[in-house]
Formats: sequence, structure tokens, C-alpha cells
Amino acid sequence: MNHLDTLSDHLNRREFLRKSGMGLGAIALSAMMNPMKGVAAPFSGGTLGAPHFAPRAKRVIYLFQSGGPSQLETFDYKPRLEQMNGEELPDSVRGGQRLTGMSAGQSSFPLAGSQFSFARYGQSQTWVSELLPHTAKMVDELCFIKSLHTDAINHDPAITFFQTGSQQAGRPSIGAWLSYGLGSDNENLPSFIVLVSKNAGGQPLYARLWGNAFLPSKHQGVQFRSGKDPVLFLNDPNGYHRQDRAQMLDYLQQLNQLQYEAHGDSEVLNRIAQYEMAFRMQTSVPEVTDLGNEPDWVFDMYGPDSRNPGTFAANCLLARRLIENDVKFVQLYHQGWDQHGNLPGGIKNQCRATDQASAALVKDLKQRGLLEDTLVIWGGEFGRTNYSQGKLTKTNYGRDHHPRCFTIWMAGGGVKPGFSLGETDEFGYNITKDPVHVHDFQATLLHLLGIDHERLTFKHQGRRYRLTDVHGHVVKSILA
Amino acid sequence: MSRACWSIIGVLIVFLNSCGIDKPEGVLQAENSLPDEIDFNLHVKPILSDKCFFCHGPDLANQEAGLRLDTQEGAYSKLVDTGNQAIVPGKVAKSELVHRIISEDEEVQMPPPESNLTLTDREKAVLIRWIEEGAEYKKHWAFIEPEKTEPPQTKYTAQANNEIDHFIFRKLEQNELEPQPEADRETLIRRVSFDLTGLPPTLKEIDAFLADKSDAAYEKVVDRLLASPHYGERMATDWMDVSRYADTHGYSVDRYRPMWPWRDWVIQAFNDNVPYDQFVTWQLAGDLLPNPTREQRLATGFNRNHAQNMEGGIVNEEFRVEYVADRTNTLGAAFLGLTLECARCHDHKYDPISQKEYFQMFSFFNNVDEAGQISWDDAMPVPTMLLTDEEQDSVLQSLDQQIEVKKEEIESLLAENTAPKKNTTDQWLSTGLVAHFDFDKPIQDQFANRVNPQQQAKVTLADAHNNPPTLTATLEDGKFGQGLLTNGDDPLTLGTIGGFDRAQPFTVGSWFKVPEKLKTGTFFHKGQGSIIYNFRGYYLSLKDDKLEILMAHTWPYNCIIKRATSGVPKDEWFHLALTYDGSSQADGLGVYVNGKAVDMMPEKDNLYKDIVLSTFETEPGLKFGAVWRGTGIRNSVIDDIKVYDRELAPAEVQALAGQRDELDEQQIVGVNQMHSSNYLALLNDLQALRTKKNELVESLPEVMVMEEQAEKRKTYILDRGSYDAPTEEVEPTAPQNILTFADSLPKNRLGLAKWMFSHENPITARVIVNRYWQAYFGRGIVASAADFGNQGDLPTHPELLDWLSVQFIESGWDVKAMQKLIVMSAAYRQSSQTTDLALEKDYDNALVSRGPSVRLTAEMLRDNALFTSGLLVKKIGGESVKPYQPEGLWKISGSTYVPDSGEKLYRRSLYTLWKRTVPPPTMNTLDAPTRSYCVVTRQKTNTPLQSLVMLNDPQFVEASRALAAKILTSYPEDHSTRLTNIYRTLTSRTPGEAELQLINEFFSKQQEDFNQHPEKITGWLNTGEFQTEANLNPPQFAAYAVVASMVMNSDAAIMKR
Repeated sequence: MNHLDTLSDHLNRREFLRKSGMGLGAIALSAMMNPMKGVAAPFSGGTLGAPHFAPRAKRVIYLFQSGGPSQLETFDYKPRLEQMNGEELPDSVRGGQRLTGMSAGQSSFPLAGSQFSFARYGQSQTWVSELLPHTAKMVDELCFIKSLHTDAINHDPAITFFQTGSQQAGRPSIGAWLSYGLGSDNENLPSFIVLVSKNAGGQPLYARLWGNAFLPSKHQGVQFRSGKDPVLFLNDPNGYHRQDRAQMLDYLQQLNQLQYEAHGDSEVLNRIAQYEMAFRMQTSVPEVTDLGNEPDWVFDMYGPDSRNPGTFAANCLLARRLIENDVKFVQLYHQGWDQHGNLPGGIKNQCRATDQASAALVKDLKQRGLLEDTLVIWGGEFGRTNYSQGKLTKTNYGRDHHPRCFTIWMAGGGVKPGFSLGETDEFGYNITKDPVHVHDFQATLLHLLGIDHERLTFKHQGRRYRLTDVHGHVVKSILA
Repeated sequence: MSRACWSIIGVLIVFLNSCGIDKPEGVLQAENSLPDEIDFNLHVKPILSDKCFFCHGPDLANQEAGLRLDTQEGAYSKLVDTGNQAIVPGKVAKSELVHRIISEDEEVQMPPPESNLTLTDREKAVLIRWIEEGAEYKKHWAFIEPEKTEPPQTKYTAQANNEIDHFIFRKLEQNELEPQPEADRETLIRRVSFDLTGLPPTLKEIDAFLADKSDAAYEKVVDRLLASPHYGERMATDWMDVSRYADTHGYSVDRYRPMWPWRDWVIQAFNDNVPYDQFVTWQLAGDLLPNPTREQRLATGFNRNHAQNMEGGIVNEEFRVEYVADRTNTLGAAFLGLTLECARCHDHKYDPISQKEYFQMFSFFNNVDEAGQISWDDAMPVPTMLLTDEEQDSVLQSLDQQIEVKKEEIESLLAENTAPKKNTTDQWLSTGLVAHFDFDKPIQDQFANRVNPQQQAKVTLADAHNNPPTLTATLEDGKFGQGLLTNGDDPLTLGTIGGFDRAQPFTVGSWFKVPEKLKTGTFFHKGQGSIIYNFRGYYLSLKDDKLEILMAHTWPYNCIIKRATSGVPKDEWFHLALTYDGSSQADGLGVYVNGKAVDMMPEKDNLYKDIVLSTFETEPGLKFGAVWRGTGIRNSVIDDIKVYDRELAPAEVQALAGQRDELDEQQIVGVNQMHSSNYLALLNDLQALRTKKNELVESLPEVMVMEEQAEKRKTYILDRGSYDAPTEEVEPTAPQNILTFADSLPKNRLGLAKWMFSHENPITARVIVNRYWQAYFGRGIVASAADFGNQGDLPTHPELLDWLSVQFIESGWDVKAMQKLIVMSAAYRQSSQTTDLALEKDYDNALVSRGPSVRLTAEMLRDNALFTSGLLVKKIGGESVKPYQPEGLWKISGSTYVPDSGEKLYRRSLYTLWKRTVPPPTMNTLDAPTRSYCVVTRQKTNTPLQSLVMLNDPQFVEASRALAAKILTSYPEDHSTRLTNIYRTLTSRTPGEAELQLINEFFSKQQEDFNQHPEKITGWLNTGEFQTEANLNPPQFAAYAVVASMVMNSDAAIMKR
């Protein structure tokens, strides 16, 4: 743990408490009356103090599509594959790419064309498949990167790589880095919030994807769950009222104050402040997570699922509310994109569950004037092979993991709308133009938030670590 | 960073010709505050390391301009580009380094701007002064063997209890600080009780200590605590972080794996005060000790505790390499205080550890017969040992004897050569035949078993599921009539036929015609998805054009592997048969081509558990031609499959292969003997015994251990650390710059342990003693407890660290004695009260100007609640437990948490089941690490989420109620005594007037409120399983519970001061 970091926290908090000049119970009570206003953020600054340069985005909503959505059925249109359906993948195209243990032993690698039709949309004339009618309507707001590539070929290392810059556990996640670097703009909510679609199924997720690793643990993502206890242990014992809790905390504060007087340890004051924050969260979290007061037209826009808390659609809507309340980084996870077999049926369901709400989120942010400084990202950890894993039949096929190319899109905060970067070959297997590595993506994300990825570092066990390890180039061509 | 050096030569020459330099104003000012003596290790190296070594350090491949500043030779030698020296001792003007660091020119300046590193004026001044004074290099402090120096004199000698205090007090004196008086007794007993047992003192223990006026009062407490069985639990808790112990595999498919017997061994080892050198040697190399005991082997589980990957589709070798790397990295952090992992991809940037040395260390751990892909069958990853008790051992021994006796009886019966009745080969071959498929008369793509037409074989989709869809079968000319053409991806599935266990003898025979180009592929197998289930079952394959038989519980250790030097005929029909005698031994497996036994070499003969899949409801049977997620025999034709539930004799196989005419009389007599009823009866008995043994073994717990595989796996330097880029081969040895690995040491893990504990090793003792210190004082003498390298913190008290290290070694690595020494010191016993002066001069208490004050750990906080409320179940060890946890947390990993009930809710937190991908939320929120990798220092944070845990986690709410109930029952009359006792129980301290008044006031308000609004107390009285006596007055009871909760949340309860 960085001692200076601790020290500055202590001093900040002490200063805050001194300046606020009122009893802490009083703060609690005033917060209770008006929780969303809170008090002036006492220690909102991150380690950077100010961004390295003017940020284009102030916040991020990352719609992580876990499992590896197929680029070939969504955005990367490859008519050649349809023509060559069933023919063998030429060795020259594969070019020694290592395969996962799932298809490496296959006797044959039959190319599989998309079973879904594509058309061009918008002024940008962007190809989108019939599976994503809502996204198709928004293409002129979106910035596509069709040439992402990664080093990993399996889920755990690949997602870990995307979220932390390393394939193995042990590095902080993107959101943790942002919280560490930029701090929080909100005193009543965590600056990094994670939402996981309920009942999506599929490849497992793991808490370290939003972990802080060696950064101070206050930077770890806080998972908001659907249901009555959106944050762990948020609810007081049944029946106990807010005023009762306020009263209890008031007495607790007085007890602690005695302790402070006896020991002179600023850690006591720090703890008092944390209890106050906890108290404010108890009000602010249920309020922000309660979608009940959203008008019908909003639900209609996000789709019928949005009325069902915990679904991807409801989480998209919730993400917008969190952003409105100055949460810096909201990461959604939607599982189930891992179509090794039965791809046509599987991906159809996945698209149905995510298309409308993803598009609605962009639209909603736009009409609220939030899109210009909010960055929305949609994408998974890798793409899928152009050959069928398992049996290719007329109506059915599967696709294995493919690291060499896949598509993501971004929208808003500082990226070019209606733009597409990168190209892949006619087989949808290799990148032919403008490759973007995961580290480049991470560098660009930080850049959009005003951070030089080489200068947001944390010294841990003698080494200055950063999100992009020792790699990464900002993808300037997508910057608006 | 390639910088044009030639362009600046002219500039430099001008500098070098002048006799001095113009120091910048800031540097001149900084010079005024430099210490009298500039010490290389203390002042200079931290700057060079942090700001220069990245490009001019030990990483040979990446040294810019060929300059290295970590060695004297490097720093003094002529630079290739300019011909100047970076450093000329005593000659500032001639030292290029000086010109570079003070230059304003971005082209010349060091460190270069793009490095994002800068030197402060003070740092520049230090470097310049050091060069002026002769630029003397010294060996890194941590690599110099520690020496015991005489504890220094101090004016606070009277307050000193032992040698530690002389070192600490002397330093305080030098910093114009003075030690604090001893903490009051309540504080002290609380501090030492938590520190040595992880539990608070009971009120009785506090009272006894308060009443004990003898000089030895404190020592008696310490001795009592060190003798407590909870001492082992407390010490083991830290060891769980270090050993990245968990109850699940980690990575994404994070299933349960019971390794708790290893954890229990750790607790016991601490309680038995096993000396540290033994404690560690057993964990690193217990299996390599002469005649290792069960405990010594169990201890090696340490190096198997790392996360392991079950994700389907991973590249086996990639993750096997990760596991070996994890062991290597853990060795560095846990024992050597070195960031070895930094040298995996290139030479270490800061410390003198080359990439080669990294892989030399790696090679110690690279000889384990393990898999990177662990089995979906929930088998314990191999190698393992069976954890038997004495009774089981004797039963197993007796079964083995009976099996031997039975085998002898069979042998002698065969030797008798009695005149048997004459059987025909047809009779032989119909005996024990359970399946026969000929492909001649398919009905809707299904083939009936000629022996039992109810059963069908069919070509199915290769799939994980039990009932994959049937596909169209492609038939062509067979050996007899029609045969089945396989595409190598869709297997012919025989239903449940062939799903034998390892005690069951069997034979599988079939005709094949394979194409010339087939070099690798499986003819038939009983199993599911090859490596995903670690080849559980049996597989007959061609591998690199050679026949291979694999029969496995868990490949590659718990299995039989036999390989031939030959393959099979190509483009013509041949008969292939596999026979097995039910012995679980390599020589019980036979392979025949065209009726002739194939010579096969056993590569592995270590099958000790069953070959059936435990996670399937019905055991999948034989599949021909293809393996799900494996390699089949593409474009081959299969015909006339026969399966027997007995082992055919060689002569019978010969007959099966159509060569019955060539059998001689003796063979026929021999086989006929085997069909005699006597013989069959004996065979039956033998199988019954083997079945019994199999059942017993299946019921035994199994733990992961380390074990050297017979044939040594070669280790290579991996380019950029990548599994698929081996370069130079290396042999095991330890980093030269720490201590030469003596030739006399065995080049294995035992040798490594001996190297670590040799008296000359400069680092082992320092690292562990520092961590003990950290455990008591909240920070180590070296604050970076995991990094004693160039980038690590310098020791605040180097002489003390060395003294303690040598003391520890001299004591015979006596762990309890070292704990006692530390907690007996006056330094430890100081009051933790802070003064303004102490805060100003010693903000983080690095100088130990006061006693330690730290927040209780996650485990201590929960255990304190359980202990004080009387809920704690003090049982030591056993299977991990599942206390309360909010519903649905495990959903993200596709599993469900079902909390335990009863006793298991109230076990110490050390026993809480640890799932790596979703760690227990309370522990995790309170700074316990995820246990995905070795951690030697926990974070110390303070967050609102922690407050929510303390306020609302049902475990704490329930404990508040239980404490209230306990107090109400224990003190039926006196209200004030009750409040005092709640406070005292939770904080070990008698409340002051002011505190008592606050608590009382709050209590009254709550009670009154609850009287009027009884609905408010529901949660307080109903959270958790704990049942209270019915006769308590609910509002009053609840008010006490709320008070207890408030005190539990107060600084006095949360902190250990």
C-alpha cells in the first residue's frame, strides 16, 4: 500500500471535517433529508489531481458482451464466406494461428457463412445484420472498430486481459484505474459500479474483473444487484428506520469522538467519515436504483425487459441514471455470447436481449445531452472463427474463439460518430487494415478521459504498473 | 529509446575540458541539507534504481547505450558512443552522468522526458556529492549475510525489556523521540491476545491479568496464549494469504476442491512449533526427504495451492507453465522477498536476477506430472496422495494380500494342465461376448447389437451431452459385408456398452482400414472429451504413427500409458484388439494387431483410482472413430466390432482376428483350461476383491501433493516468458547474486530448501522475521515485505533486523520463541497514544515511537463478534464451512451458495469456504486478499462498504442479539453492569463515565422507541438462526442488541490499540 496515498487521504479527510464545522450527526441528518445533493465532495480528486489534458469524456458506460460475440453475424459482413460455405479453411488463411483445445483436433475446418442477412444503414452506410435492427438505426452515432485483436484465446485470460491489461490475475481493472486516477464526482455513490445481467447464463464471471488488485481497495468496483439489497448489506435490520439508524450513528460518532480525543489518531475521523458515507449510500442507492419513477416512454424505448430489474435492458437504463448522478464508470456484463454450437439460435437470443436497450441507451444519452461527454462501449473479449466448430449443417453451426479480429463499437465522448475503422480479409479471419490491439483500446479509452496511459502509474513492489503494461498506442483516427 | 548521442559529443567535450561544473541553483540549495555521509545503499542506490536502472540496470538485453549503473564496472567503463565515462570517481566534471542529469536540453537530459521519470534537486545533489566523494559502490544490503551486532546503548535502558528495545530506543533517541510508557493492562492483554490467537481475552482473563501483581504477570499471559491451540489458527491465517490457499480451483470455472487437510496441517505445525526451516522445507520438498511421512508429503500441498484452470479449450501447456511460474513467483514473494516474476520475460530491471536465473528457479518446480487443463470430472488435480488412516491402511494391505494369494492360486491352476474338455474356438469366442456390431443391416442409421438387439450403435454428433442427435451413417465395403466410414469428428457411439470400471476385465476388438496419411487419431475410447476429463476411461490411439494405450483416472499421473514402437497397417484391413485383466496395472493391458501381441513399453504405471466418470448419471460407453474435442481417425473404415466382459487369452485374440487355424495344441489346451469352472470361479473371486478395493479407494479423501516425475522434464528459457517459445535449456540452480548454489546440493527442491536455510543465505531469515514484525506492528522493518530488492524500502532498523535474523537462526528457527521475543519487548508493549511530536516526526510509526494501533483483520472482526457473543464454535480444523452470505452472489460464476446451518455458521473465519472468483464478501470487503496469488501484506483500507458490513451483515446483527441475550441472562438485575459488560466484552476495556453515559442515553431512547414501535425490532430479534429464551422482554432485549451493535461498530472494538 502506498503510504503517501494513505497519508493524503488522512489529511484530506481531517481537513474536510475541520472545515465542515458541524457535528457529524448533523451531516448525516441533512444527507438523509436530501441525499442526492450530499455535501461537497471532500476527497473527490484522484491521484492525478487534474487530468493530463482536456478530457473528451467524463464518464464511461461499458456494455461488456461476455463470451465473445461473433463479428460475422453482427457487424463484419463477409459474403465470401456465404459463397464458400462448407469449404475448408485454407491453411494459408489460418497461417499457423493456434486454436483452442476445443477445435484443434477437428478433422475438418469448414467455412461457415452467416445465416443472417446484412444491409447498409444510415448516412454512414454501415453494414449491420438483421439481428440488430435497433442498433442499425443508430449507426450514425456509433464508431466501429472492426480490427480489434487480442493475445488470448480463452475466456478467463481474454476477459482478464481486456479488463486489466494482463491475462493473469493480479492487475487492477480499468474502472479501478479510473477511480484511482480521477477519483469520484459523487459523494453518495461509488465511482465504479458493476451491473451483471441476471439469468443470462454462459461463461462464468469473477469479481476480480472489477477488482482493485494492488490499488487501494476503495477503488474496486461495487456490484449493484437487482433486488432489495442492491449493495451488499445496504439494508438495516428489518423494521429499523432511517431515523433510528441516524440516531445510532450519531451516538456512535460521539463514542468515536471520545476515542479520538483519547488517542489523537486521525484514523478515527476517517472511520467516522466512512460511516457517514455508508449512511448516505443507504438512501442514495435505493433511490438511484429505483426505476419506478421513469416514465413509460423511457421503458418503451429500452424495451419490455427494462421493466424487469436485473435484465440487460433494465441495467442499461440504470446505467444512464448512475451516469446522471455522476458515477464515473459503469460496467455492465452480459453473459451468453459463447456460441460454440447452435450459433444461429443462440446469437439470435443474445441479440434480442441486448439490441434494443444498447441502442436506446445511446439515444437516451444523446437526447439528454449526456452523450457528448459520456463514452459508451459495446464489445466482448474476442471474436469467433470463420469455420464451424463441430458439425456444419444447412441450418446449424458453431464458432470457436477467434483472437485475430473482432468488432466493437463506441459512441459519444470524443469518438467519431458514423465512423468505422479497420478492415478484415474476405474470410473474416485476418486484419488487413488498421489493427487495434487491446492495449491500444485501453490507451484510447484513457486518452478520451484525459489520461496519458503512460503516466497513470502505481508503484507496487518496485515497479510502476499501468493499465497498458508496456504497450498501447492511442488510436487517434477514431478521435472526433 | 534511441537517442542521437553523436550530436551532443561536442557539447560534452566542452564540459569535460573545464575543471568544474555549474551546478544549478536548486542543486546547490539541496546540497545544504544533505546528510554528512552519503551512503551508497542508503542514499544513492534507491535513486539509481528507481530512476536509472530501467534502462541502465541489470537487464542486459535492454541496456541503453551499453551502460549499466548497477555495477561499479559498468558505471566506470567508457561509453561506446561518447568515449566518456558515466561516472569518474571524484571527478564530477568528467562524469557524463552529472552533465546529463543537470542538463536542461531534452536531447541530452537524463532521465529522458519520455520516460516520465524526473530527478529532484535533492536527488541530483546526492548523486553529485556521492561522485565527488569517490562514487563507492557497495553490495545490496539484503544480499550481505546478516551479522549480530551488540545491541546499542540507550538512555532508556531502564525501560528496555530485551535487545529489541535497545535498537528501537536508540533510534528514537537519535530522532529526539522518546518511548511511550507501557500500555494499560486492558489494552495490552487485548493487543497480545488478538496478536497471538486472533481472539479477544475473556473478561475472566482480563480480570486475572489486572489482579496479578507479579512481575511475570504479562509473561504468564504470553505463555498461556502461545500454548493455546488458537495460536496455530492465528498463525495459519497469515499463512493462507501467503500460500494462496482456497477451497476452489480459481480461474473462471471455479469449482470446489477440498484441500483443507493441508490447512489443518499448517495449524498443527504452528501449534507443534515446528521450526521454520523444517516447516518450509516440508512444504517445498517434503516428498524428497528420506522415507517421507504422510505429513511431510501433505505439506507439499503448498506448491499446489495455486489457481488451476478448468476452462474447456485452454492450451494445456500454456497453463501448466503458468502453474510452474506461480510456484516460482510465490517462492520469491513468500520466502526470498524478491520480485522474481519480473525476470520471466527479460532480465530483472532492478535486481541482479537474469531471465536465465528465473528459469533456473522455475526448473525446480517444473518436474511435476500435472495437467494444465484440470478435469471436468471434479477429480483432484494430480499428483495426489490418498489420505488414509491406520484402519484404512490395514484394510488395503489385507486386500492386496488376498489379491496376491488369489493370483497365485490362478497361476497354479493354469500350471496344472489338467485334461480339459475340448472347446471349439467358436465356443470360446461366444463366451463373455457382450456386443457385436457388423454394420450390415442398419435400421434408420442405427445398428443393432447382434448379442442384444435392444442395444443400438449409431453415429452421433460429438458433444458433451448424454443424448446427442443421431447422424446419417456412411457405409462402404467392409471387411465382411459393409463397414462404417468415419469422418473423424462424429463418433460411432455404442451406448453404455464398454463402460467398465478398473476392476472389470474386458476385451475390445475390431477391424479397421485407415488411410496412409493418418498419423494421429483415436480408434476407440471410453470416455468423454479427451483432456477435458483428463482422459478418464481408456483410449486406444495412433500417436505420431505409433500405437498408444491410455487408461486413466486422471491423466497424466493417475493412469497407465503404454506406447509401441510401431503403428498399424495402412490402406488395408487389419484387426485391432485391446485386452485388460482388471489389475489396474500396465502389464494387464494388451494390444494386438492382426492377432499378434504388440510390444509396448509402459511409460506410466500408476493407476490407483477408478476409470469411470463420477459426474455422469450413466457411464458413457465406447465410441469409435472420433473423440469429442479430440482427434479421430478421419476417412477410416470400421467393421465387425466385438466387446467382451472378460480378458481374452492371446490365442483367443488370434482366433478373433481370423487366424484360428494357426493355433497349436498347447495353446488350445491352455485356453480350454481358462474356460474351466474352477478357473472361472477363481477369476470371479479375484474380481470381487479388486472391486472391493476399488470401492474403498474411491471413498478416500485425496489431496494434491508435489512429486518428481521419473523422467525429468527439460526446462528452457521461454522467450518473453511464453510457453510456446523455448530457447536455451537450463538446469536448476539459484540466483548467483544472492548466494551460490553449492555443488554439493541436490539439484532439486530439497536442494533449494537447503540453499534457503544454509547459514550463508542472507535473505531467508530476514524476510520471515520482518513479516513477524509486520504482524505485530502493522508494518515491517522493511515496509515492502514482499520486496527486499533494489526497489524495495530500506529497513528502518537494519541492525535490529539483522540481530533478529541471526537470533532466529541461532535459536534453531524457533518460531514461538521469536513471537515471544517480540511481544515481550517494551517496544511492542508501548501505549499507542499519539503525541503531536510523534505524529510530526513519526507519522506512520516507522520508528516505533508508540505501540501499534491497527484495525482488526477481517477474520478478527468476525471472530470477535462470534467469540464475545458466545456463538463461536471453537473446534479446530475440518472441512471448510459456509456461513451466512447474501443470496445469489455465486450466480455470476454459474453456481449456487447454500449456507450451512447450526454449528458451521459459527466457526472461526479461517474455516470459511474460500471461493476465489467470488470471495466471501465480508472477508473481501475487510481487505482479505482474493487468494489468487501470494500476498504477504494486506491492504489497510477504510471504506463505507466496510461500515455496511459491520452494521448489517447478519452475522454481526445476530452476534449483537446473542451478546445482548448473554448479558441479560448473566446479569439479570443490574442495568448499568449490563451496559458495562457489553462494552467491556467487545472492547476489553472498562468504559469511562462519558462512554457509559452515552451508551445509557442511547439505550434509553431505543428502549422507549421500541416500546412504542415494536415493529422496529423485528430484524434485530430475528436475524440469524440463534434462538433466544422466550422470557426476555422484546423491546428491552432489542435495545441491548442495538447497543451491542453500536459498540461493535465503535473504534474501540474495531481497532487493536
